Amino acid sequence: MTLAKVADRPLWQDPVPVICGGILVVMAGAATLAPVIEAALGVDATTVDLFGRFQPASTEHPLGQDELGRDMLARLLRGGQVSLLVGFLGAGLAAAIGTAIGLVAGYLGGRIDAVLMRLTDTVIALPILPLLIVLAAVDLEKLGLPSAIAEAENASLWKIIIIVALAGWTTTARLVRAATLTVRSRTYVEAAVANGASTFRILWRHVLPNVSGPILVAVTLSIGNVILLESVLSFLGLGIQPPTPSWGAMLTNAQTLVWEAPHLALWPGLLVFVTVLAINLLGDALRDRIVGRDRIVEG
Amino acid sequence: MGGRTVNGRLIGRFGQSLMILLLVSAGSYGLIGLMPGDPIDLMIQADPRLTAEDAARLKALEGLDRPLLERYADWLFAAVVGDFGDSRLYRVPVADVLWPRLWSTLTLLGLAMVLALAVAIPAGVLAAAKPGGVADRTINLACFAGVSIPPFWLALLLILIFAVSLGWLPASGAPPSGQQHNPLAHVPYLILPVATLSASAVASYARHVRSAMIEAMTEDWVRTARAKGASKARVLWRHGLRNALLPVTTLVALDIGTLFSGALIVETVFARPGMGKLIYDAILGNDYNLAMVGLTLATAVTLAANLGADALYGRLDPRVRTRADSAEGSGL
Repeated sequence: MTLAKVADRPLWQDPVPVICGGILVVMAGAATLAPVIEAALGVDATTVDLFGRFQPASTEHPLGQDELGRDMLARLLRGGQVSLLVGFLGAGLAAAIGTAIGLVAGYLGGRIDAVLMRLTDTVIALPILPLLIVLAAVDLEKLGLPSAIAEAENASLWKIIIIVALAGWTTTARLVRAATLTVRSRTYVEAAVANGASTFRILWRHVLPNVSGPILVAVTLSIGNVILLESVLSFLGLGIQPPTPSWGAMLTNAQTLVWEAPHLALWPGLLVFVTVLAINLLGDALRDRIVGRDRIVEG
Repeated sequence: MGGRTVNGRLIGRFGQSLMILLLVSAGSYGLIGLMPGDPIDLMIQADPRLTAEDAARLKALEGLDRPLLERYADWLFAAVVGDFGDSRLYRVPVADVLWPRLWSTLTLLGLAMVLALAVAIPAGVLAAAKPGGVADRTINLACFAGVSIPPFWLALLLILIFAVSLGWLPASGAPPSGQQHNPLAHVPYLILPVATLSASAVASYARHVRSAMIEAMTEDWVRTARAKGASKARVLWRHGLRNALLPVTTLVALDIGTLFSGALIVETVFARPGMGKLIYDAILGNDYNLAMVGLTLATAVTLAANLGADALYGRLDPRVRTRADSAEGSGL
């Protein structure tokens, strides 16, 4: 009963989603304004200062300097740009894949549904990280891509977005399928069928708009997972490639440096943690209101 | 009669698992071929005097000029009879490197799972006892923290606290070679890895237990137990939990793949010689044979765990014998 009361309150009157939303706005704002903040402080993310290696916080460098003497704050801001970008684009791509699969499975049902859902369950059950590592190690040129694309500066960024999307679509597929199952038998869908509308048109015009709530929930929940996965792959050296900073990539060396400069290990991980936590709590609050709690066992 | 349908279902599941295993191994074989630097490329890099003709000859010698599918079929037939080839990194047969590491990873997974369940079951029951209450909200928040924390960062924090600052535990590695066979010598090296790996597992198990408990507490027998005056604790633990544990078995088994992914991270950070680190090193080191067998074995272990849970579920809950067959194809 308490739950119902909580969920009935509008999102903006519940302190948890409001605080989480605030944190995310600050994070995204700071990442977007990175050039402005850098200019204001007179630092940048790329200047190497070998005399300033491992320096702790100072007035010039508010969060200290890393193993090459680069400004930690500036690198965290630039890393935030990359991590958040991968999070949003990766989750968007994952949602597109998951929505297509969920719509088709839920609407067509029968054998197609069984096959698609078994595929979803398999992707959930498999040891996905080792497989993604292989995928991340693939040489784009051997795939037949022209070297202009394969060696482009942003190649590792796009590669990681596609890889995280390939792992992250399952939540959306399940939520969208469940929602499609309830929408499928509504009168407006029956009316469209009676009018002779094509399956594609019914899915696009009649079903999709009515399952947009669950899609929003799934995208929100996916962003957190995608950011986490990007940080893991980058930490393992297979995601975003240096010198481009991302929060995960900034921790690649932190392990060997943990004895000399513990502050380097602290900040990037803390930012991933806080961001992902805020997104997940926000997604949970949305789910309570849109999909209903406890109807979905696994998010 | 009921028994036969369960067996039939299990045989069907077994066939499906084999097919998934085949697909995953074929997919990995294709992808591994797309990684930069095959063995011959590396030889050419190491020895600039090799000409293009030499390279072609060497490729033909190793069979690398044949079509992909043909090579995969060869690999598969050899692997089925137990010939995994040699490891390029370790210069010994793959099987020699593999088994001790598989054992190490299974120990890690087993301990992490036991610890996670020991924490998650009471937490989940406590949360479900009063949904929306203070305990539920606190545990819910802790669970979200558990799934949101980057596992490698948690590992770094634990190293920072318990190895660097306090100096109580080793930061990484395994016992010195003289003490490999003394189980007690392994304990200090296991504490931090097991704790790291359990953290996210606790979060996901506790959520499973909580939802299964809330579901179970709406059943008629729970109301009956309450009506006849059973104590609150007895209703919760005897009538609720025993029934809630059934669906939890399946969900925990489904999570093994995720746990294995976690083991890869934990083993890499703590430099533990296990399957996850082996696969990671093999992929980075272009050790094709080792990577292939490692990936296939990891998939096989995960699928076997799922299959085992399926079989166990039928054993534990007689109702499944009839119900599961009607649920087949529903996507659950």
